[in-house]
Amino acid sequence: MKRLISSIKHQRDIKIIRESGLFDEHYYVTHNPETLNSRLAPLEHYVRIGSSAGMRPNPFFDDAYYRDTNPDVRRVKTNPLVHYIRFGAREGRNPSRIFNTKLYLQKHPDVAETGVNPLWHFLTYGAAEQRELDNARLEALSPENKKLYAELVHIDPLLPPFEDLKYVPLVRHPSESLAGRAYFKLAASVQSKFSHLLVLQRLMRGGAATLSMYFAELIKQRRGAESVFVLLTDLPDDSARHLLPAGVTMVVLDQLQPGLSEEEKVQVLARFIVETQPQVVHNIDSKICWEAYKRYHSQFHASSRLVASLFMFTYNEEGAKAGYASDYLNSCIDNLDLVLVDNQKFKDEACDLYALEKHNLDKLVVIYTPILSEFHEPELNGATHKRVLWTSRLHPDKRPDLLAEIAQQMPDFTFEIYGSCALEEPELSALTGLSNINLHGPYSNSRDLPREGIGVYLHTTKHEGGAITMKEAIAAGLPAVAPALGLIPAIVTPDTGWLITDTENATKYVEAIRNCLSDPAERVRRIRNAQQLLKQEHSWKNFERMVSGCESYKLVR
Amino acid sequence: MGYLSDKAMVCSIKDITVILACRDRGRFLHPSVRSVQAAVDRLQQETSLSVEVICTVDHPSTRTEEYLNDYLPSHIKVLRTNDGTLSACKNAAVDESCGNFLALVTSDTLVSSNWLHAAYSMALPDTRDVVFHPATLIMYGGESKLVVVPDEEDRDFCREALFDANPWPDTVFGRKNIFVKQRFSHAADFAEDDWHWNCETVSGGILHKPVHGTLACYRQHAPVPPPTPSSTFSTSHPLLPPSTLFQTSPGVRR
Repeated sequence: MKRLISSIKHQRDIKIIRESGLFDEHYYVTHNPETLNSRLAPLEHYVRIGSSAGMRPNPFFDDAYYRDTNPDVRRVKTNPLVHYIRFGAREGRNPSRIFNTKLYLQKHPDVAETGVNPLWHFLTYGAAEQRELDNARLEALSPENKKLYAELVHIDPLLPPFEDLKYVPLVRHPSESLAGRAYFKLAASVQSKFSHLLVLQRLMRGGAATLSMYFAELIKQRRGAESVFVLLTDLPDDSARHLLPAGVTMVVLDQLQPGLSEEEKVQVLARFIVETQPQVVHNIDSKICWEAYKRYHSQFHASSRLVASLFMFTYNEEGAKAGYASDYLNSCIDNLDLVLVDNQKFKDEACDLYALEKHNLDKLVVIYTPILSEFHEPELNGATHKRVLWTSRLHPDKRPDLLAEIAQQMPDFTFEIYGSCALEEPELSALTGLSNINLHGPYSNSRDLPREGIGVYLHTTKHEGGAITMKEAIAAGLPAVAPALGLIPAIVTPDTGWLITDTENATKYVEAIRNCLSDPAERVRRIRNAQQLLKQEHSWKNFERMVSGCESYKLVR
Repeated sequence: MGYLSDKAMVCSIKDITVILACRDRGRFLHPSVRSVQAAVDRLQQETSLSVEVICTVDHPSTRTEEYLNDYLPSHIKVLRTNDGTLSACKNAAVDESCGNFLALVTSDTLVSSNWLHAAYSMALPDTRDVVFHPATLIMYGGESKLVVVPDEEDRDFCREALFDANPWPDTVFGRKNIFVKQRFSHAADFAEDDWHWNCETVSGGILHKPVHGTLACYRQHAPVPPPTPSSTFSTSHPLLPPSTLFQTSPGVRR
C-alpha cells in the first residue's frame, strides 16, 4: 500500500515538473552521466533518486539548498522543485543561492505582470536576453565606486563614461565547467604514467580500429601495458572494444562526460597532453586531435613527439578532395614529427599535391598494417563455387551501387555480404531488391566469415587505404577481384589476383570473376602468390621492424 | 638572469611595497603610474604606513627609458631585468622588495585610490594564506566589460571553472611570503602568467578574495578577434602551462 502511494505521488510529481518546463533533461544527463545507465527516464530518475541525492534539475535549482533554507519543505519530505513550482515561487522563496526570486521580479516588472514562474522565465527567455539576476551591477556601480571612477577618468580620459557601464556586458566567473569536470574525470582515470597516447575518433570495427590496436599491442609488448593510454575523443562508439589488448587503459570521452562541444573536447585533450606529457601522441583518426595539433603543436612539442596516421585522400560528392588528409596534412606537416601511412600511393599523391620538401616527405613513412589472420590453403575445387564474398561496412564510400550492378549482371551467382549497414534508402533497397544478394549484417572477427564454398572475394570502393578486409580474405584462401586504388595494386597484380583498372566499370569486375573461376589451377596459383607476398611484407615482424625504425615513435625505452 | 636598479636598493622594512610590473609601453605607462601614485598618496594621508614603490621593467626600449627618466616620480625605484618576460620582472621585484605586504599592479591597470588602504585593512587581520583583488574590474580600450571578481570562499565558487577562465585579475595584494613561495612563471607560447599563478596558488591552498568597494580598470591593447561563425572551434583560446592544479592523480602528477 505504502509503495502504491509512493508511486502515485511520484507520477503526480513527474507530471507537475514536466508541465512546468523546469526540468532540463540535457543538463541533468550531462551533469549526471551515470543516469544514462539507469532504466529510469531522466525525469523519473530525478524524482525517485536524483533530488534526494543532490542532483539538480537545472543549473539554477539546488535541491539541497532549497531543503536547507526551507525547514517546512524538509519536514514534509516534498520534492523541493514541486514545492517551488506550486508554492515557493509565489511566496518569494529562492531556488538556489544564485537566483533571487523576489529580486528578479522587482528588476523585471514585465515578468511580474505576466504572473509566470520567474525561474522558468529566466531559463526560457531571461538568460538569452541577458537579464540580470541580482544586484551585482548595482553594487559595482555604487555611488562610492562612481567617485573612485571619476578620479581615474581624470588620469585616463579614454575610460568610458560611467553611465555607459550600466549597459556593458557583466562578466562573472562561470558557476560550472563541463570541460573542467571532464578533464578532472579523465585525469582520475590515469593510474600510472604512460609513454604513448593513442587518440581515435571512436573504436568501431574497421581499418583504423585494427591498426590502432596493433600499435597498442606493439607498445605493450615493448614497454608494458601501462605505457599505452587510448582515448576516444570524437564519438561514443566503442563497439570494437574487444580488440583492445588486455591491460591497456581506454577512455571514451563522450561516455566519461556527455554533452561536451567539439571546442571543449579540444581543450580537454590539450590540457591532458600538457599535463601528462606523453613521449608520443599518436593521432590515429581524431578530428579533435587534429584541431589540437593545429593550434597547440608548439606547446605540445615541449615534451611530446607528435605522430599522425593518414590513410588516403577521400572525396566528397562533388568529387573534390575531403577528409583529414586534405584538411590537415599540408597545414600541419611542418609541426609533426612523423606521419604513418599504409600505402605508397597516398605518399606519392601527397608529395605531388603539396610539393613536399625532402625533410617533410621523409616524415611520411609507409608501414603496412600487418595481417594476423590465420593463413588457409586455397580450396582446390573453389572455382566450382558460384558464391562471391563481399565484406566491409555498407556505406556509400564502398560503392554499394557498383556491387548491385555487378550482382545484377551475374544472376547465376550468389553474393554473400557481411558488414554493418550505414546505408539509407534507396541505396539499401537497390541491394535488398536483388534475389542473389544475401545481407548477413555485422561480424566481429574475420574468423566468423565463410571461407569454404566461396569462389571469389570481391572488393568495391570509392577510395582505399590499407585494404585490410581484402588482405584478410586472401589469408583465408580466397582470390581477390579488386580495383586499383590505394594499397591494392601493391598486392593485387596479374600474378596474385585480378586487378580492375577501370574501377567504375561493373562489366570488368564481372569478367574478372568469371575469368577467375574459369581456370581452377590459375586461381590457386594466384592465391598462393598473394599469400606469399602478405607473409613477407605484411607480417607482424615487418610491422614491428618498421615501427622500431621510426626514432620518433620511441618504442625503445 | 640579472637585473640592475637605478638606485641602491638598501632594504629597510616597509609596511607595503607596490610593484608596478611594466610592459614596454613608453608614455602609455603614465596612467598606471599616476593611479598607483594616487593610491599611495591617499594611503599616506589616511595612515602612517610606510610604502615603497618599485617599477620593474624588462628590456626597456628607448621610448620607455625616456618615460622612466623624464616622468617617473623620483621616489619610485626602477628595476631593470633582461630575462624577456613579465614574470621575471615580478619575481625580481619580489626579491628586491622590503615590504611586509606586496601590492602587484601591471602597467595596463589603473587602481582606485582606496585600493592600497582597503586591501591592507583586510589583509592585516587575516592570518590565513590569502591574497586580495579589487572587487570590480572594468575592461576598456576594446569591448568594455564589467567584471565581478569572485570570492573563492563563496559557496558557489567553481574551482573546476579555472580550467576555462582566469577568475582574478593580476592586481593582487598579499603577504610577501606568499609571493616568495609561489613564484610567477612564464612558458613561451602559453597563456599569461597570472592565470597560471592563480591556479598554482589555489592548488597550494592560498585563498583569493575580493576587497569590497575597490575597483581596477584594465586597458586592453590587443584588438579583440572577430568571432568565427563558420567554425565550431575557437582560434584564440590560450593554453595554460602545466599546473599542479590539474595534476590530481598519480599518473598525471610529476
